[in-house]
Parts: sequence; structure tokens; C-alpha cells
Amino acid sequence: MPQRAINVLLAIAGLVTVAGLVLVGVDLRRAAGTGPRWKRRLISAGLVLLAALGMASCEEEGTARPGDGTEVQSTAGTALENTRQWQRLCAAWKEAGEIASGKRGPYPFNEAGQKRVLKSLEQTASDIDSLRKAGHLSEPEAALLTKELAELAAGVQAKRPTEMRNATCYEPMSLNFQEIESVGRLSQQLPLLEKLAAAETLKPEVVEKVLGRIEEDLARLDDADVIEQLPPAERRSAPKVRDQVKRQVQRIRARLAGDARLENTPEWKTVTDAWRYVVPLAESRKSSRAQRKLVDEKLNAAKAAAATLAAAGLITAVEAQLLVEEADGLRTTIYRDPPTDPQVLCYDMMYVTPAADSLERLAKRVPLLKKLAEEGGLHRGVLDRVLPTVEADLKRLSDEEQLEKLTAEKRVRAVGLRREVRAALDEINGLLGETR
Amino acid sequence: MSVRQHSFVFEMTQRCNHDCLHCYNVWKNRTPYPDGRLGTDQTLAMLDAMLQQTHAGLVSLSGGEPLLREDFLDVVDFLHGRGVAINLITNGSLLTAEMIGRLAGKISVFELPLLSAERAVHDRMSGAAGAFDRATLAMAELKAARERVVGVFVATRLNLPTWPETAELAVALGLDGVMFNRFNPGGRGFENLERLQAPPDEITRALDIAEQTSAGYDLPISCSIAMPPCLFDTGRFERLTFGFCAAGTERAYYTLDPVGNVRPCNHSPTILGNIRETGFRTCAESPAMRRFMEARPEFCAGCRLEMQCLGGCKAAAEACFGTAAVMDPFLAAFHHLAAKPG
Repeated sequence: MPQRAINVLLAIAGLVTVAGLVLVGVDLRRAAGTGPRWKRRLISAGLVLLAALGMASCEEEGTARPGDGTEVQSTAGTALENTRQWQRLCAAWKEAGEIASGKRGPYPFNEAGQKRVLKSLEQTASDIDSLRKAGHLSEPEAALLTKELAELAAGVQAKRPTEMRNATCYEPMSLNFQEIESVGRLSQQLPLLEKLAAAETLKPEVVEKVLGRIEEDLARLDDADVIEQLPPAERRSAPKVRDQVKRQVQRIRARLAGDARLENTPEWKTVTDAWRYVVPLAESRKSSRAQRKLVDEKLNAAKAAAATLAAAGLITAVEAQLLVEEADGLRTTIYRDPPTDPQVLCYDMMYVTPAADSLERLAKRVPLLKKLAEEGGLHRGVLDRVLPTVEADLKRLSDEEQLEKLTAEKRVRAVGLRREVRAALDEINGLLGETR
Repeated sequence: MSVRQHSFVFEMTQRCNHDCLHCYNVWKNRTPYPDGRLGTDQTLAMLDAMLQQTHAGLVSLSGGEPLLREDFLDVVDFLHGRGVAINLITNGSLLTAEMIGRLAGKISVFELPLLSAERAVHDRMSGAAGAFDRATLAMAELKAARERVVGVFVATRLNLPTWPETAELAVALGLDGVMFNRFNPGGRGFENLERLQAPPDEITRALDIAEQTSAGYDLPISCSIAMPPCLFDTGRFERLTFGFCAAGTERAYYTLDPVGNVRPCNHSPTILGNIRETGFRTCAESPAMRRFMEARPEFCAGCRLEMQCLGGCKAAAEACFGTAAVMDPFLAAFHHLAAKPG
């Protein structure tokens, strides 16, 4: 039986009982306190039951609030209220009504919640249509509900999700202001500043100001206690990044001081130190294991320095690549001979003819030399370290006796390479002449 | 309609030492706007009344160029003394180290233009030679003084090609955030509409770069001027934040001009009343404000986000076409490309 009918019947039964008791003149209060125990218990239980039924009835009534549409009457009567669509409509209507009326505040939902409510209202529109088609709602009822629903939806849309609590035209962002920039942020900031300083995008005094602040932050990072307070991930990398950033600051400062010559940078010093140590070892073809270890360290540092110099615009990218190639070549030369230490393994060695070696090396360098000749922007310091090897290789490949040690195929390749390298060198030398 | 306000804008002066191509100041509209200024005492009394009536906790000082006003520091001191947070919207040209020192601890956020990483483009858009160098120096000085600084990029056809480098410049300068605002015509900007207004696809590409920059450098970037969701798929940008018109809410941007006229926002030319004559409540509850709030372009009818987006910037529509009830100039230019969110 539909709930509303039960409620009505209960109400009628209650009224009849009350009227009967009044007419008979029974004093319930007295009856509840006197007579046999079973009678007193029966009266108490009856009163409790009536109260419970009355409360249940009130709750049901509470779902139908004036103005929220659930009081719409149907010709189909109780059948309407029992439908799934109508119950869904009531629930959606109640929630949307509270939102639209502002009862739930100006930000009644988050974005997901807003989507859900609007979707439930879309569902309500189709529920109204289904109820109309099923004859539970008349045409005018459905039309009226649809119009009300549109108003309700507009009211819901006018409310903003919590994500937009701070979103106005002018202050939609929260700033992550930090007294000391994070180490990570500093390491990102510096290369950009260096690039802009190199391109003269910023005036020197602007760069100087920015550096001033960065140096203050770096100085604080010298304090072990400050580092100790950093998040664990930053704590580990902080000293290394700090030192790297300090070098970058030095380099930018050198540029600002008009002292931005390649030769004045710490990175160039790293490169020249490496060459000074490695080249004699390569030429002598004698090196110990300990020396080789140092060779690796110095050459790796030199390669990293070359990349940094290129990023700072102090040498070109091609020049940096040539330096890297040259470093690798020097290492290969050193490692080709056995170390002077006694422990030599037979598998460490494999004889490669010098001409074949030169051929391979030149083949790798030719594209770079051509590019260098095309792009210009040469630095003598770099070429001084690269060209001697190239010229030595060229000389070797011009030596017929050496060429004889190559296969026929490689000999042909060597002749072609010789021509290409000479052409590139002529152009480079020409450019160097102009530079001078 | 909320009378209690989070903040308001005070346009300190109509004077400016720049002549920006994109300037939206309402006194540069074709229709006349009242001029004038009050003395310091009257100005402070007016601000006092506005603060009492709105309960605002934040005041944005704007102009014109606010630092051109002789009693600028008096106003700052007064607001600071009242415990109000202050945003300073300035071109930075007058922010010397000495001035920054005098403002120390009193300004919550400095908003300065960063229109391009190319000096010539920034200067051209600002209508002032040397504007770029002065703005970047001011930013560097402010950061050296440990102040919060936000760079404002107004995206136009002139400077969009330089946006990637400009975003990097913001990082290099150590800025705390960037506002990426699409050009919103009004005032002088409306005269330059054709040469400045960039199409949505160009802006979208710039937003992609903004997203990458924000993620790569942990730099907050917001798009303050409303981006109509029918022209921009804002949902795919996780890092960027987008603003919408807040007219009528407690976070509205009511604007007080130098003589006390109250407008719905700094882009809108509509005068709702005068704080010195009618009080704020009368302005906020005026028929003009109600019309402004309820106005929406017919084009937006039926859009799921109509009530959230409100048709873009109503103030720009008002400034350029005389009514807030039509499409804003951006939507008007590109509505043929619009895809209404279903």
C-alpha cells in the first residue's frame, strides 16, 4: 500500500480512537497509573506506538517542502510517488533547491560536485519526460516542472565551485613566496639569467641586482644549519648545486665586468688544465694506471666545462663538440698502449694502424669542421687544441707509406676525406685570419 | 548581492607617464568620463568610508600610474595603518630603490608589466622608451628587497611571439608569479583592437608554453581575464589558473575612482554612485549594478557554463559596445570558432 495512504489511514484511526476515548470519558493518565499491571503495560505500549507512527509520518511529510516541487499533485495519485523517477526527482530537487537558494553558501560544491548536481538535473529533465509519457504527470504538470527545473539549474550554475573561491578577475593565483629561494630554483634561474645576460636582454645593473640577491641566498647556504633544515632531497644535492651556482655567478660577473673573455672563465681553465696534463701523456704513449684515472677525471671535467661554456655563449656548440671529440681521441690514444704498470692483460690490447686510427678520427671530425667553417664565431683557444690533431691525422693520411697499411677501400675513403678536411681547414684558417 | 567585500580597487590618479597601446582605462574610452581629484584629507576620509562600508581586507592601488600622485605614501601609510593588505599595480618606472625602501613591509604584492623579453616590443606596447629597462630594474630591486612581485603579460599579436622568452625572463628575474592576461579591449586598447587582438589558437599555443613553464620552473601563472570556455579548453591546463567575472559576489572588484565614483570593476565605465554621496550599499544595490550582473549575451543562452563564464568580460563589452548585454569584443571577434561546452 502506498505510504501516503497508510499515513492517512493511521491519522483517521488515531482521530477515531481519540474521539472514542473522549466520548467514553476514559482518563488515560489515571488508567496508566492504576489497575492491573497488564493493563498499564498495554496502555503505555499503545501510547508509544502511536507516538512512533506519528513521528514516522512527520518524517515522510518533511521530504515534501513547499516550493521545492515535490508537492506537485498527480492525476495518477500515489502511483507517481512510488516511481523511481519521481523519487530521484525529489532528491535532486531538494539538493539543487538548497544550493540555488544559497542555503549551502556561495561555494556549495567542488567542481566534481557541481558536475554531479548538474548531471542529476539533466537526469531530472528526462525523468519528467518519462513520467509524462507514462501518464503519471499531465502535460501542463510536466511543462511547469520543466520550467521550474530550468530556473533551478540556472540557480545552481550561478554558484561557484570551491576551486574558484579565490578566482576573480585579478587575483586568481596563490604565490609560493619563499624567503630563500630553493636550491633547485636557483639552479634553474641562473642558466636563464646567464643566457639573458649574454644576449644583453637585460641591462648589467639589472643582472647585478638579481645576482646580489642570489649571492645572499648562496651565502646562507654556506651555513650547515641552514642546509640541515632543507627537505631531505634538497639537503643531499644542496652543496653540489650551491657550488655550481656559485661558478655560474662568477662567470656572469666576469661578463658584467667586461671581462667575459673565454680565457678568464674557470671552465676554460678546467679545459686547459686537462690538456696540459693529458697531451704529453698521449704523445709519450706512456702512462700508469693512476695517471689514466686522473686523465679520465680531467677529461670528463673538461667535457662538462665545454658544455657549460657553450651554454654561456662563450664558445659555439660546434666548438664544444669538437673539444669533446678531441678529449675522447686523446683518451683513446692513451689507452691504446698498455699502462706502464706491470699488470697487463693480454686482452687489453689490439693493434690498430695509425693510419686507420687517423682515418676514423678525421671521419668523425669532418662534419664538425665543415659546420665550424660555415658558422664562424671561432675561438683560437679552442682551435689551438683541436687543429694540431687534425693536421697530424691529415699528414699521416697524406703519407703513402702509411696509406699502404690500409685496405683498398679505406685508401679511397682516405683520399676523399683528405680533400674535404683540407677545404674545411682552408676556410677556418681564412676565418681566423679575418678575426685577427 | 554582497555588500561585504574581500577587496576593492582604488584608481589613485588618471595621470600616467606611459601611453600603453592596450590601456583599458575608462577615461580613455570614446565616451567622456569625469575627471578630478580630491585633497589628501578628503581622499583618506573617502577610503575610510569605503573600508568601513565594505569591510575589505585588501585594496589594489592602481591608476593611471599611482606613484605619480604626490600623496601616494600618505595613502599607503593610511591603508597600512588600518591593517589592510595592499596590492600595488604600477608600471615600475618610479619604483626607485629609495621608494622601495620607504614601502618596505607595507605592500603585499607588486604587479608590474612584463610585456616582452624584447626591449623594443615592451617599450612599443608601453608607449615609453626605456620602459623595459625601468620595469626590469624595478623588479630586480624589489626582489633584492625580498618583496613579492608578479609580472603581468598582456597577450597581443605584437608580443605573443616573444612569450616563451618572456616566461623565461620572469624566472630569471626570480618573480613570484606571472599573470598571463589576454588583451581585453577598452579605452585606448579599443582603438588598437585590430593590431593587438590575437586569435584563440595563438593564445592556446602560448598557454601550452605557460603550462610547461609553470611546471618546469614551479612558477605560478594565472590567466586573470576571463577565457571563454567555448574558445579555450581550459580544463586541459592543470597548472594554470583561470579567473572569471566576480561581479556581485563578495570577491567582486568594485573600483573607486579618484573622486569617489564607484564602478563594478576597473574595466567598466558604469558609475554606480559616489561613495561620498550615496554610500557603498546604494551603489552595490543600484539598478545599474543589477543590470550589470544580470547582463549576458544572447549567444550564450543554453550553454552549460553560461552562469559561470557569464559571457566573458562584460565590462569590455560595455566599454567597447556601450552595453554589457552583448558579447565581449573577443567573443564577438571569434564566436564563429566557439564550441559551446555540452
